[in-house]
This record gives sequence, structure tokens and C-alpha cells, in this order.
Amino acid sequence: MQFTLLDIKPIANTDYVAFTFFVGCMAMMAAAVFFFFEMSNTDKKWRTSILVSGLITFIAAVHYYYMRDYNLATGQSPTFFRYVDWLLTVPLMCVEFYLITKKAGAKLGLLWKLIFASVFMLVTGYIGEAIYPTEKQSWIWGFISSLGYFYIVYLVWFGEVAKLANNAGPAVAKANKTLAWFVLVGWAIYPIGYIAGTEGGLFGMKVLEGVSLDIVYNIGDAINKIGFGLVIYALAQSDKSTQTVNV
Amino acid sequence: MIKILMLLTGALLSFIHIWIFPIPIHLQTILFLIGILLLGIPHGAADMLVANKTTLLNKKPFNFILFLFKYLSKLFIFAMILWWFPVIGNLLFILIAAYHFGETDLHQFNTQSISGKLFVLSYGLVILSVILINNFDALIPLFNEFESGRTNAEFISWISNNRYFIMSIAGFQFFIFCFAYFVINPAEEKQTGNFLFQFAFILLILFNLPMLLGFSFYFIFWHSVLALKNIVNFLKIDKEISSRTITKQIFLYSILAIMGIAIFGSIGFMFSTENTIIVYVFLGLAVLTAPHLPVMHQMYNEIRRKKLILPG
Repeated sequence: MQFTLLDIKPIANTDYVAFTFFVGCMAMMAAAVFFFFEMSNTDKKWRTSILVSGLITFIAAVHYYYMRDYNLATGQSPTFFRYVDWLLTVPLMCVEFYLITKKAGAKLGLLWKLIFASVFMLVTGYIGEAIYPTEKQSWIWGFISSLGYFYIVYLVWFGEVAKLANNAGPAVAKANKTLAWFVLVGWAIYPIGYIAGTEGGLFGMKVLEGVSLDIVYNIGDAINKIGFGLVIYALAQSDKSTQTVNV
Repeated sequence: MIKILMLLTGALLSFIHIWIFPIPIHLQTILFLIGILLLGIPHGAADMLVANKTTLLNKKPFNFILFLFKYLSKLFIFAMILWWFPVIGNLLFILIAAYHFGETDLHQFNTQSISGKLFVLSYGLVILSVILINNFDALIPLFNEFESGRTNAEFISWISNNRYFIMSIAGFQFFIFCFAYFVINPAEEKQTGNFLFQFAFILLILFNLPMLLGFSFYFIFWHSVLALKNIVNFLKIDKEISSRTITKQIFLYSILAIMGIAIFGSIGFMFSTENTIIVYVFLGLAVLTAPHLPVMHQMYNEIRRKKLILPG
């Protein structure tokens, strides 16, 4: 009988890529457990948001577990599985914006817009990074993908999401502002990593030559996914304490 | 609806070019010239009517002679700049055309402020960088038709070697100016970010088309059709100008512009080869764009200032 789950390959001290995959997996798993357990400790209206935060980190943890193994076994970057992970988790992160603004009147149309924009961003990014990694094509697809990213930035900073969040009260407005910063700065790590790491490079220069793109993505993922969930959790907690004070 | 139809046509064109058969350069040239004659030049031929309407909407008298004098002066001054300082003239043309393209595509935004102008310019620069810099190899033979192109071979070669640098800069400055615009100018109620998807779709089409077809699709098909639609709708506000008058004016001034380019070309070497015809048409468009831009800018200003809603 083979315990394949425990068939762990050793990680060399200098293998920072595998190390960040391992740490990423553990951090995501811990965050998922935290969010799932804290659901019962949260007001009813925020439970779906906390559940989605737990799902995001749980899906990422499973993918990170697989990607760590894949990387150790082949020495290659698990681009395909990374995009599968993003394709599941990024639209869920967009769902969070819909959930927190739902009380202020967010409609299903907004949810679909956010999901469509995130899928568009990821599919075009995948085409550039995996299918056409040549100098010309990777730049082109990267820019097109960035337009999808920028559409999400537009919605959460200036568009419907921002307007609804401002109408939903100061706590939601503050949480939306923090999430908007996550999208603008935290998510920017992906297009920057993409252009810096692909063949076309940043301004045609290979500035990140020698630095693994996986390390950039792993750190970015951990900060963004866990941070995103924690902002939602903080919003739910602040709302609960406000209600307690009111009582 | 018209935008969706045009985007689908563009997608079909790039699909045919990539997957079915590469459209021969000879056919590309024919499509380009037919498009220029039927749409490219006519879209600027209603400038006098537009200027007249803009002046009247401001309750000021319109002086035809003064308008003509100013219009032709701008045209000749720009022609002289192109003639004496070709590098500066070409760069100036890029900036003028970029602003004009951006303003037409983003006319729903209030872009009167400096941040708005930079936003509009940055949009147009991305479009032009994708059409021209991405296909720079197709432009080099056109530059070489002129002595100035040959004398500036080093500069042309620098652009060719740094095309990705230039395109990256164009892309970055768009995101920076676009974000800055929305930070500085609070979004209006009916405003959406849908222009970003339209922009992405246009760029996808342009990336997959060769230079001449890309320029034909964007300038002739997309830009000219939308500009003409805006012009006709603007002129028909208050129903003062009939469709017949608009058609007559467009026809008359189009013929004049085409004759002007043909006469200017005959003095030079326009009809030597297909390449020289294309070069002269580009020069003609550049010269005509210089006085056309301010007229259109005033029209869009008027639309924004009075919050006029163009039908369609």
C-alpha cells in the first residue's frame, strides 16, 4: 500500500521556488481553516462572504500542494495549474465585491461584469504566457489582458462598485477602498511579473532574468488571497461590534 | 449596434487573413484606396458645415472667408513643416492623429481638462503604435521613397530596433493617464468602463492585421464611419441642415481634396509605384488632418459643453 500523500520529495535549502510553494500552501490552508471556523462567529449577513474567502484560500492551497510537487518533480513552472487556480479564485475574489455591495443594491449584472472581466483577463493572459510566448505575441496578449484588469480597477475605484460601496455605509466604503488598493497594487504584481518575466520583457529589457517568476507570483498570491479574505473578515467583525454597541 | 457590426467585420477580416488566406498586398492597396476615397476623405469634408454650426450654436456670426483663410493657413503651415522638417512633421502628425482618434472614440467623456487631454492622447498613441510600430517593417520602404527617409535612416533603424520599448511606453502611459483621469475627474452617472473592452477588441483586430489593412480598418472603417455619424447627427440638431445639403457639401469638398492630393502628387512622383501612391495618400491625410482636428475638437467641445445627446 502506498501513501502517496506522504510521499514528500525533499526540498533543497537553495530551492526558493519550492520553498515559496510550500509556505504558500501552508499559509493558504491555515487561512482557509481560519475562515471556515470563523463563519460561525460572524453575523449571518457576512457568512457567504467569509465562506467565499475560505473557498478562495482552500482552492489555492490544494493547487499550491500540487504545484509544489509538480515543480519538484519536473523543475518546470506549473503555468497551466497556476492559471487553473486563478481561473477559479480570481472570479471568486470578484464575487466578494458583489457580496459586500449587495446590500446597497448591487445587481446580478455587476456580478457578471466582474466575472467576465476576470475571465477575460486570465484567458488572454494565459494565451500570451503559455501559447504564444514569443517576443511579439506575449507583449500583445499581456496588454490586452491588462485592459481586462484595468476594467476591474475602473469598477472598484470609480465605477459601480465604488458608488455602491459609498452608499452602503462607512464600514463597507472603507473595506472597498482597502480591497481596491489590493486590486490596484496587489494584483499589479501579475501584469508586472508577466511583462518582466516573459520573453518580450519590460520595455524589451529582461530585467527579471534569473529571477523565477514563480517566486513573484507565490508571494503575490499569498498576500492578495489571504489579505483579501482578512479585509472581508475585518469588515464583518467591525459591523458586528457596531451592532453590539448599538444594542 | 453599428460598433458591434464593425468590430465583427474587423474580426472576420483578421480571421480570413490569418486562417484562410493572407490578403495580398495588391488587394490591400486597392481596399485602402477605395476606403480613402469613399470614407476617409469624405469624413473630413463637412468641416465647413461643422464650423458653421458650432459658431451658430454659440450665437456668433459665421465668416466663411475668415474660416477658409484660417483653414487653408493651417493646412499650408503643416505642409511646410512636413516639407522642411520631416521628422518633426511626422511626429507632430502622430500626435495630432492620436489626439483626434482618441477624442472620437472617447467623446462620451468630459476631456476638457489637461488630465482629459492626456487620457485621450494616450489612447490614440496606443492605437497608432499598434498599427505603425508593430508593423514597422512595412513602413520602412515607404520612408525610403523620400530622401528625408534615407537621410534619417539611423533614426528609423533606432525605432525599428526599439519597437517593443516604444510600444511598452505607449501601453504604460495609457494606464497611468487613464487612471489619473478617473482619479481627478469623478465618474459621471451614466459613464461605464465598457470602452476598455471595445479598446481591447480593436487592438486584438489591429494586432492581427498587416499595416495597410490595420490602418484601413481603424482609420477608414472605424474612425471615419463613427466620425461621420457624429458629424451628421451634430449637424441635424435642431434640424436646420438637411441631409441633401450635407451630402452636397461632403461630395464637393471631397472632390476638391482628392484633386488637391492628385495635383500635388503629379508634381512629385505619386503615380510611379503602388508604394508611392500610398505614401502620397498618407501625406495628403496628414496635411488635411491639421486643420480638421481643431474643427472636430470644437464640435466635441460643443457636444460636451451643452450635454447634447447624439442620436444612435
